Amino acid sequence: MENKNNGLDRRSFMKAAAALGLTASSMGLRSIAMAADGGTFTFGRPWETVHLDPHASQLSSSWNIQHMVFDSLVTLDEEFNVVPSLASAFEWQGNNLVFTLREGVKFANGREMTSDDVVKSMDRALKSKGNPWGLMMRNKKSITADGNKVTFEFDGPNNVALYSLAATLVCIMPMKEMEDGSYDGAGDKYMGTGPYMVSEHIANDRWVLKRNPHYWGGPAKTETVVVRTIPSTQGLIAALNDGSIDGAMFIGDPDAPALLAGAANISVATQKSTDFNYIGMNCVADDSPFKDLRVRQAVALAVDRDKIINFALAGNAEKTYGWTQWGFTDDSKLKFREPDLEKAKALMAEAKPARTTVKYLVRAGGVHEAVAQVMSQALAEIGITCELETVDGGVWAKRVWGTNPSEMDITSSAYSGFPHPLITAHWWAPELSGFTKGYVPVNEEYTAALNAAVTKATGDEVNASLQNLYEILNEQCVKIPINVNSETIAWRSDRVNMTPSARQSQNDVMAGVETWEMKA
Amino acid sequence: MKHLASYMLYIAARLGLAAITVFGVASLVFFGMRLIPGTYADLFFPLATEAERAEINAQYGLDAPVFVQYVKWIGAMLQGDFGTSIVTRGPVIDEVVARLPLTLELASLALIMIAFVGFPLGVVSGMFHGSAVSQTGRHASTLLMSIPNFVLGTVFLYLFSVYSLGLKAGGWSPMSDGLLENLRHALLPSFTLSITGLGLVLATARSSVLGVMGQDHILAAVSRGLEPRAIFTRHIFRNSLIPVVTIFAIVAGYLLGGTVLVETVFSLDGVGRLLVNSIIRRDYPVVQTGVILTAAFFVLMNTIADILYGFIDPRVADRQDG
Repeated sequence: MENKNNGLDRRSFMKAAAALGLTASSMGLRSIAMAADGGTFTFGRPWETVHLDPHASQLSSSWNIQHMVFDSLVTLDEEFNVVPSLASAFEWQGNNLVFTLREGVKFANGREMTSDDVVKSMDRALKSKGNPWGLMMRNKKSITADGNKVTFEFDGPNNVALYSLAATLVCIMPMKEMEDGSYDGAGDKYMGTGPYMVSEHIANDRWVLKRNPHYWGGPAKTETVVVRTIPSTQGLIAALNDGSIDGAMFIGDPDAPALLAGAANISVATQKSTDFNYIGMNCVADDSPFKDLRVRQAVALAVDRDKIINFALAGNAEKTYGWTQWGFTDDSKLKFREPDLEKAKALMAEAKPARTTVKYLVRAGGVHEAVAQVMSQALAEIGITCELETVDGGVWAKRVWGTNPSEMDITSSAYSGFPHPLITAHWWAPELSGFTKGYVPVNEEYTAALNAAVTKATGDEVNASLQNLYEILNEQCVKIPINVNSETIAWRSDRVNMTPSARQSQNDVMAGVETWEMKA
Repeated sequence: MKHLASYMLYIAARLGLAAITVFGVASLVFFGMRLIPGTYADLFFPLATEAERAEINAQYGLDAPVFVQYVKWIGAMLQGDFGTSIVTRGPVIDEVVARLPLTLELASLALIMIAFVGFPLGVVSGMFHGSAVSQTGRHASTLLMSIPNFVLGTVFLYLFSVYSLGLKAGGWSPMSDGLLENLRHALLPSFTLSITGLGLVLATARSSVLGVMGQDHILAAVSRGLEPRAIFTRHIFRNSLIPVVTIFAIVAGYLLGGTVLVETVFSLDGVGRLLVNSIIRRDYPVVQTGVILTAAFFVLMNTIADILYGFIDPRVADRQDG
């Protein structure tokens, strides 16, 4: 009786609750259903594009989508040779790098690309906060256009300019539309000259790309490409198995090939990447034992790359002694290559560091935790005890890059390797690239040699300078490269014809996507 | 009339307390996020100079003293402005609200499973104390509470993706594409989400029924010759409900937290995954709004439970009245 007096009874409460639940459930639920036209290729990847503005995208995780939408003046082939893209030809004329723009290139809205778009895009890109390509082109005097020619004028040689231009960081954007406000250059409705344009983006969930009808390379074979963010390896494999996706990349998970082995209708390929893992030591903090060169060299001699690759990387990586990829330098001339525990112990005995317990800061996710585990065992062999601390990317960035001196003694991390090793060589020169100044000491000899290699060397001198830098860094042992990564690409062979490139740089994992074709 | 007045006062007091709690959570999350080292600029603009990073922080109002940021944020929020995402530059409220239906559906389905499976099983298990049914109920509740939901989710991912068992492991289909297809996608994550709650409610209902059945008034009812059905509905069920309602409110809050893992395992674009990603990316406005809305929901569930106490047992509201 009292219930009725209150005007609320159990039955009416349940009815109201059920109605509320149904309303909430049907409100604006978004579909991840794929278009049923047979022309949709759905790809899964473990991360999301966070930097939306291509000219400001400093982390490689953001470049994957941008590669499909935007083009640069030049690009790379599988051997990492610079080849034409929006420029149909390029040549050095003295200290001037002259590009001939390809005829008939249009943005996805149908407007023809002009030399004005190129000059203004370059100006915007090189002025973007933190865009490192301004540093790479530090001896640039001007960029000018004359008809279909665009000329980069330098005050001497520049041995990284051409390679730097094969990146989305300097892609050509529709500057006219950006100036009149009809296109937001920092937004996510990407429209460039590439094979696809963005039709929808649901942050953290998916990008939907539609074929660019005006693509200069001819229409892409697949009408729609959906790129879904599926954070776990298990989720990616499940989606491949049940056909929710047609292909996937397993970045940063060396166990993926083993997990995919034997799966029906799934093809697996390994893609060599220029990305590499390294160990960094704090040589700036006064109380760091690694300020002593002998201790760092002892660490370098304790590193057993084979062990790291086999235990932490499931054997799916290739060891490296420097930051350069294949064919640029001669490893045999390096002093600190293979492990030599006796020599390492002798160096430690000579150095007698005041502190032998060190803080090993590890970035959570990827392979760094496993690498740190193996490394800490190697260091124990030479009397260094590691206190491992795993933190998220933000904390890691603040303590390693954002604090001077860095709040760590030693760390494991990775760099996105670039097609020319002189680009990455800058990350060892804190006067030029400030983000490492908290743990990398200024080395005037190295910086002068780097400047000379980039802006003075010609012909054979370039590789000789590179070898010189390589040997300096190997002897200084501030950052010790461990391995270059191999990434795993898998796809449903019963549903799609695709051939991933055997090698990629700058996270262009889906290079050639415009040629991938869904089976009937 | 006196009872109605005391009941209304009781509800008002609960709602007031709920508002204070949400405000407290809002303050806590605001200052808590700023205590975590690293900002969006530190994380995503490593190659920028210090001056450039400061400029990026200023662009998002992060250069002002923290207390000034706080006052501005509270002021804007009270006017319905939850701010702009640092990462996507879209309105935060749109980001969160777009993902709420999925998360609410998962949590609602999980609650339904708990209510219609866990609770009856618990009651039956309690009613037949000493029997095999009761023992099964006891062991089942322990087992369900012991399985971490991400482990079960991963097992489901494998089983249901490799073998065509009818249900989809991963991805989502909205109700607008058909209820059946929606349920094919929603059942596995919902069940995964529900297991701890299932076990907890089963155990609570079982022990609650057992406790009530041992009381004198039940013995008296049996002595008076009341029908077993009447004894159950009038005496046992009603009296054993209060602890279950309490647990339900707690489980509802837990379910929202649990969606973080379940949405990640099943690759679902809900509020839980949005929150985790936003914390990692230091997207303060999204974290703040997401946590506040989640907390508001949790507090609301608890408030509803409090109000239901007064409804189920009027003495609770009378005691509040003094």
